[in-house]
Amino acid sequence: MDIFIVIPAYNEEKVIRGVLIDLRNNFKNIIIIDDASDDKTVQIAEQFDILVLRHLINRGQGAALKTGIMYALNQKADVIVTFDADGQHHAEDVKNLVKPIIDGQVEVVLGSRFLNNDQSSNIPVYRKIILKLAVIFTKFSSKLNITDTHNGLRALSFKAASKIELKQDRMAHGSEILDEIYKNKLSYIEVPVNITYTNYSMTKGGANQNPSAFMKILFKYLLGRFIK
Amino acid sequence: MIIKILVSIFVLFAVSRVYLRYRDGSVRVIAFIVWLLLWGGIAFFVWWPKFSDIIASGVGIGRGIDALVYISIVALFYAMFRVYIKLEFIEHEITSLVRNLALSDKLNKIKDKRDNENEKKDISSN
Repeated sequence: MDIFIVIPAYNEEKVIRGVLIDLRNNFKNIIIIDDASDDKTVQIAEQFDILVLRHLINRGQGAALKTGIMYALNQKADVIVTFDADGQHHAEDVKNLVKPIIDGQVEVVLGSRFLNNDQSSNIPVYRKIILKLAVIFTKFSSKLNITDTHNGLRALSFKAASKIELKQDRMAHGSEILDEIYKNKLSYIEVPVNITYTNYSMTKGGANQNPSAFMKILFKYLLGRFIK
Repeated sequence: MIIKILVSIFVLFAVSRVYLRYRDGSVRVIAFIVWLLLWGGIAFFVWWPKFSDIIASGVGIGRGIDALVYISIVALFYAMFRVYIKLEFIEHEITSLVRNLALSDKLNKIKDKRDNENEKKDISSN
């Protein structure tokens, strides 16, 4: 079973080393997609024996993710794991994430920070509210009944990854993946994962960063659905 | 009166720009005619606003100037929508370009490496 870890990264020089050390000990196939960082992200990533794909200009997290997924599909990956570069995910969670796919139970596994009770108390209040709203929104828009809609930690089978079509280059791809799961009738399951909130990761993180970023992403997402 | 002259000067300026674009081939004949009609229409209604009243009462709007404003707003919104769609399309084109460059760069490197290794093997086997 070939497991590929796909990590979109943009200006993550402060944390990328830790993320890669954590993953390198456990996994063979790691792909970093550098989304035209201005800092030393690429230089640091290249010190590890991993694949670094480089976007010449910044195209957004969704676009970077798709580049990595396309490469992994090209290499006939059995399971593709999407992993955030900002250090909020943990390598040990990946094993639980890929297991249901390897066992042939489902096509898609979504990480959830809310299935784990000790974990959900650590989440900052503002983020919690936004994430809960997103769950309700997702029930209507993507018709999926899940507890954590915007978790960057997911695992896709080869079949799921080749069916999911990402058109949103920027942050709205999170909702788009869920739409695609429903549209392609892919079987899915949620497993509990840990999210580490640091001051660093709080400055990133798209929709739950601040209300205006949230509105912008929501607008992009709805417009994307409208003109599709 | 001043507004009439100001608008006319602007229309002449705009038409000259359209003409230059048409002459260097970046605007097609159809687009050129549409722009001419649009700017010509604006100049016409500025000089003879009475005509817009006739059209307005025909479609059931009181004043000609109101009708012009309504139509302009609708046209502008539509134009904005078109531009937005076009922009999204271009963004996607750029993304797929950047993606293919990233992928082909890496795949080529792997291929080069393999070719080099094969060459070395060939040389050593000879």
